Amino acid sequence: MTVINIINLKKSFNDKKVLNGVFLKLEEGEKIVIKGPNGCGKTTLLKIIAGLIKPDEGIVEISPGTKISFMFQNPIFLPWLNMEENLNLTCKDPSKLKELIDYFDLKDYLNLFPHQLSGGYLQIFSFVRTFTIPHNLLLLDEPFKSFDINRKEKAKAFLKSHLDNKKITLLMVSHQEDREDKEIADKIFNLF
Amino acid sequence: MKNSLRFKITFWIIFFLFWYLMGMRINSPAIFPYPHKVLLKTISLLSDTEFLYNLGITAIRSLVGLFLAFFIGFILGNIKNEKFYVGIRNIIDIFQSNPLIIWITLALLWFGFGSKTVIFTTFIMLFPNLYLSVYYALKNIPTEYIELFKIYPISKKNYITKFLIPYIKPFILPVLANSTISSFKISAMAEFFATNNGIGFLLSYAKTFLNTEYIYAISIYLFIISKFLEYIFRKMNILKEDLKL
Repeated sequence: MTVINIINLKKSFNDKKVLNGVFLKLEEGEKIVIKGPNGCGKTTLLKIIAGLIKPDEGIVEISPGTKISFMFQNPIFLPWLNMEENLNLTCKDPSKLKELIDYFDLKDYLNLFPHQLSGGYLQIFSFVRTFTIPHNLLLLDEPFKSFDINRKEKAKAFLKSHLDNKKITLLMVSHQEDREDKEIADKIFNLF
Repeated sequence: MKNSLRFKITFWIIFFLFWYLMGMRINSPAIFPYPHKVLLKTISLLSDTEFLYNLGITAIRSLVGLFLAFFIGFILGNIKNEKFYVGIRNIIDIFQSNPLIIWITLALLWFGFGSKTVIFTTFIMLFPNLYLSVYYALKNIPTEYIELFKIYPISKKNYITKFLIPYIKPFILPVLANSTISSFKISAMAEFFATNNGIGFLLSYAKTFLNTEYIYAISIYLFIISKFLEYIFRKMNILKEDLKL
């Protein structure tokens, strides 16, 4: 079953063409990593698929019943809530949340506010949040960007096990230099 | 002693000295009474029930005007329709382009002598800033938060209590605090022309009978009330700290 079918997608910002005729098809359970240089429209493509940005031209077909979870490139948390309150606010799966808090050893950081955490920790919390809502399409925008090596390995291991034997479709944006994407993806989609 | 306190004490000594010297130079209690006489009058008003009663009336009128301006400003500020905004903006331009005295005069014609005129005038003067602060705060909600809640939807109750109110608070509270301080002055001004009670009326009455000490004493109370409210709002971190020397 086709989950995403993108035909001739075009998007410009202030006359600057970001996406110029993109075609992409994802089958259920498929895992694709999008690569490309800075400013080539990787994030824009994910946001269009998530329905956060409207395309100028082209067709974006998402199969009915698709539940999307999106990990933003820059972690977004409400600065007046601590991390526990931030996660609980959007969480639809408390047991998954608890499991991930334990897995990443984040208990000691739950009482802290976003401004008290490093970029790396915010990225981990953002990664955790992605799995706390029901989804069968995962859109991850440079998910391991600010992780240290240990957490990167743990996150990748978790993602792989999460995707194993499940009909979850993955579309992940990754930086050009990341070589380990092959461990996760079925295909690499180059966006130029 | 801290520098700022020393400066304040020096300032007030010079201020009262200057006042005293001006009083001696002008030599007319009906125009420029001596500071010690004004201070004695100010203290005596504390036990003057008529004065306290009128002070209370002014406080109630200003709070009603403030509440109406905030309530209506908040409700209308939540309407995101651009055409509606342009319509309200035009009305606000009319409110703001006319001096206070025009509104007092018009209110006197529409509502007659009494509280309604004072409340209406207070409302007209406070509504624009309160409405605009709500409207712009909501209009400028960062895209990232809008995107966050599209992907991670939350209940309406949580959206209001955990996002909207905390987000909007820093935009509205300083305006509300300044409006509270202004409301008292606006109401007193309107009462001067439009009522037979309240602080403004006492000023008008004192002016008619050239009771200058009384006028000065009332102005000191208006100053104290305004500074006291400012102090409270600063302590609550709603208004920013003033310049410290």
